[in-house]
Amino acid sequence: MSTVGSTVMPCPKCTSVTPPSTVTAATWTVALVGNPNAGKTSVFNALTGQEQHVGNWPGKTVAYQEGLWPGPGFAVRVVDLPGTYSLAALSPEERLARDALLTMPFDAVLNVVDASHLGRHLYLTAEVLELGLPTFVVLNMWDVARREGIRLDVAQLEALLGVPVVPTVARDPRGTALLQERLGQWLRQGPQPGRAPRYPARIEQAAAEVQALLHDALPDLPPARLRGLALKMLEGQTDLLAVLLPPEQAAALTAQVQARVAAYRREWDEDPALLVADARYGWVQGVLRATVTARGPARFALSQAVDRVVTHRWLGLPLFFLVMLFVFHLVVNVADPFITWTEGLFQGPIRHALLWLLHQVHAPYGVRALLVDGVLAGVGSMMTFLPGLTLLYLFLAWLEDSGYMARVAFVMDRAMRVFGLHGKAFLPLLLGLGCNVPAVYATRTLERHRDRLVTALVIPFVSCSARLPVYLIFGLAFFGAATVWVVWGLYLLGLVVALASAWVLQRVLLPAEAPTPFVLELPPYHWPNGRVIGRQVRRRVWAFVTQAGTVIVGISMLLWLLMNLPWGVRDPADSYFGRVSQALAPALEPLGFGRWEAAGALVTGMIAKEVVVSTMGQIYLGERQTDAAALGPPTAADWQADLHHLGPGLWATLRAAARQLLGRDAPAFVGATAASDGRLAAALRQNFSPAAALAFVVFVLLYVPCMATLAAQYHEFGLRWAALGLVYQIGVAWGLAWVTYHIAQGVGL
Amino acid sequence: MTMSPVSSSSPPLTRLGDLPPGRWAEIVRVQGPPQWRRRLYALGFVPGARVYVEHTAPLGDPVQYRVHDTWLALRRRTARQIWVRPLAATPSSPAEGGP
Repeated sequence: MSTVGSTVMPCPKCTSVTPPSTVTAATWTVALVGNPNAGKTSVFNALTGQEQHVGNWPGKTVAYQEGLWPGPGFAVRVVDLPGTYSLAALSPEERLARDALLTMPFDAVLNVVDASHLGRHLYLTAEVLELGLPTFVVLNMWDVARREGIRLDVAQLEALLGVPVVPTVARDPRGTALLQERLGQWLRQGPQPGRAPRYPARIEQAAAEVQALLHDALPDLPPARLRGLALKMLEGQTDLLAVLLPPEQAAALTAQVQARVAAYRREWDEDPALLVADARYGWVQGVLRATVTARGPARFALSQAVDRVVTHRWLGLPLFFLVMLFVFHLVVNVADPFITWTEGLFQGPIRHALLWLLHQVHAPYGVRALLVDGVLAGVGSMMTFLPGLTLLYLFLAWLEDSGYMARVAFVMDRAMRVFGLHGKAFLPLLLGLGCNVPAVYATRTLERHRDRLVTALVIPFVSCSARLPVYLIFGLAFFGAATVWVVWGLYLLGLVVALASAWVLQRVLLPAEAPTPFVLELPPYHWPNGRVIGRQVRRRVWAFVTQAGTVIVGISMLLWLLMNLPWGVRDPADSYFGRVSQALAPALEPLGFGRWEAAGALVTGMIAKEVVVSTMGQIYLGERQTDAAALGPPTAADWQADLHHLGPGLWATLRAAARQLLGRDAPAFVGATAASDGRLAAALRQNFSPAAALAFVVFVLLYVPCMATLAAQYHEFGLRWAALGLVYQIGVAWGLAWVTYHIAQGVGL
Repeated sequence: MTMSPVSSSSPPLTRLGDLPPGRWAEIVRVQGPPQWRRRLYALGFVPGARVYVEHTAPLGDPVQYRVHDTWLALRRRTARQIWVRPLAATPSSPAEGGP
C-alpha cells in the first residue's frame, strides 16, 4: 500500500493527502541515486519490499518508482531516480535526476555505489555532495569487493565524505539489516549535508565568481548549493537555471554566466567542462588513495574469459544467435501450450462458472451475452498473453541481471546502427516475430527514451505469428505452390519497412537531438539473483494486467457491442459494426478490396490478426460464433470437461511445454497453421482478384498489429505516441498496399 | 585549445579508435562538440586517464575499453575523437586505474 497516487509529486510529510493506511504516513522522503549498475534496484527492493509502484513524472515520459519503507516508528518514502553515471544532464534520464534533486523537497539522498567500482561510482557522489544535500552512501556489493581483494577503510571514507557510509549486500536479505538500522538512526537524528569536494584553486575561484552572479537571483539557496550550481554552469549546463527561475530571468542570467564561462575558456585556453570533470576525477583518486588499503589482482579474469568467448570474432555471432533463438523458442513455442490451456480455461471452466452464476440470478439474455461474449472473452484474450510475457520477462530479467544483455548490444550494434537503431534494439525486433506485445515491453532494456520509442513504434511492422494464418489462407486460395514465396516476401517486407521506418523516424520525424556519443557499459558478469528476478517479473506482469489489460478488455467490449447493436440484429451487415465497415470500405477501393466484408474483417483483425480469417468465415459462410443455446446453463458434460481441463489437461500442458523446451515437437507456429478451408478459399476467389488478395495481405501485414500491441505502446509511451503510431501504420499499410495492387495488376495478376 | 594533436614528447599521439586491442594508452585530448565531450568526460574519458583496449565486437565495431575500472564500449567513430599517447605494454593494471 502506498501513500500517494503515482502521478502526485513526491512531497515530504504530506500527511494531509494520504489515505489511511496500515503503516504511518511517510515521515521523510529520500531520493535514491546511483549508477545504472550500482544495484540501486536491489536496495530499493530491500527497503520497500512489496510497498512500491511505478509512476511517471508529471509531463515526463521517464518512469520512476517509489515505495514506502516502514521503519520502526517511522515511514520513509523512497523515490527511485533513474540510474545515471553523472548529473551532467545529457540525457532525459540524467536531466530528470538532476532536476528532481534540485527542485523536489527531499529530506535526504541515498547514494548507492558499487564498492568494487568506486573509481567510477564516486564521481556521482562528488556531484551529489556538491549540491549540499544531506547524503547517505550505501556501499553496495560489499561481498564482491571483498572477494576481489579490495580492502577499504570505511571510517576514513566517512570522514572524507562527511556522511555515513554503510557496507551493504543488498541482493542478500541478510545484507541490509545494518543499512536499515544506520539509515533510520541517521534520519531520526536529522540528516546533515556532507563535505563538498574542494577543487583546484582556479576552479574554486571561477565557481565563487559564478556563485556571486547567481546569489542575487537565488537568495534563498544556501551557499553550498549555489556553489554546486555554479560548478554545473561552468560545465556548460545552460538549461540549469530554467529549472529554478522564471524563463526570462533564467535566460538573462544564463547569458550573463555564459559570458563569464567563455571568458574563462579564453583565459585558461581549456574547456571549463573538462577542468571540472578532471577535478572531480582527481578528487575521486585522492579519496581512493586515502581509503583503499589493499586491492587484489586479476579482478577481471572471469568476465574477461567469458567475453573472450561470447564476443569472439568467429564464435561470437553464432553463439549470440543461439541465445536469441532460445529466447524466441521460449517465448513462442514453449509458451504455446500454456496459451492454449489458458484459452481453454476461459472458454471452459471460467465461462461455465459465470454462466452457472448468471443462470442462478436469472440474468436476461442480453446481460449474459454481454458478460460472457463481451467482457469474459476480452479478459480471456488478454490473459492468453500472460504465459509468453511471463517467460519473456523471466528470461529478459536473467539476461539483464547477468550482464549478457549489454553484450547483445555490443555484438549487434554495428548492424543496427545502419538504421539509426541501438544495438539493444535487436532483441525486441526479433521477439516481434513471435508476438509484438512482449516485443514492445522488451524495449525497456534500452536506456534512452528516444531509442525505446523508435524501436517500439516500428515493431508492429515485424510480422508476428498471428498473421501467418491470414497469409496462408489467402496464399493457398490464390497462389498455390507459390504461397511459400508470398509468405517469405511478406516477412521480408515487414522487416524492411520496420528498419526503414526506424531510419525515417530517427532522421526525419523526431526532432534532432544533440549528438550523444554511443557509450555502453559492459558490467562484469555475475550470477543472477532469483529473488530479484522473481520480484521484477511479478511487478512487470502485474503492470501489464492492470494497465494494458484494461485497454484490451475495453476495446474488445466495444467491438462486441458494435457487432450486436442495434439490439437483436441478425445480419452482421446491419449492425453498427457492419455500418462502420461500409463507411470504411470506399477508403479501401483504390487497393482493390473496397467491400464492407473486407473492411469488417480488418476491423475485427485489430483484436488479433488471426481473427481476420474467422471473421471472413462468419461473413462469407454465415458461421455464427455463438447462439442462444450456448449461453444456457452448463451441462454435466461441460463440468466434466472442465474438471478434465484443470487436472489432466494441465498436466498434458506441462508435458507439451517440456517437450517444446527439449525440441521434441514441431515449432508451435507451424503447428498453429490453419488448414486451408476449401469453402472459404472459394468464397475468397469470388470476392478478390489475385492482385487485390496480394494487396490485402500486405495491408494485413502492416496495419495496426492488434489492440494488445497498441495497449502496450500506450502503456509504455502514452496516448499521443500510440495514436501517432496507429496513424503512421495505417498510412504505410495503405500506401504499400496501393503500390502492391498496382504492380500486381501491371504484371497481369 | 589548439587543434594540433602532436605534442613535443615522444611517442607520437594517436587516436584511441585506431589503437589495436591489448594496448594501454593515456588520454591527451577529447575532440568534438561540447555536449559530446561533456558526456565522455563524465564517463571518465578525461585527459590523464589511462585506457586499455580490450577487444573489438565481431562485426568490427564497437570496441570495448577499460577506463577508471569499468568496461565501456565506444563506437570507433567516437573513439577516434579521443587522442591518446600509447603506453609501453603494462602487465596488468597501471597505478592510476583506481580500485
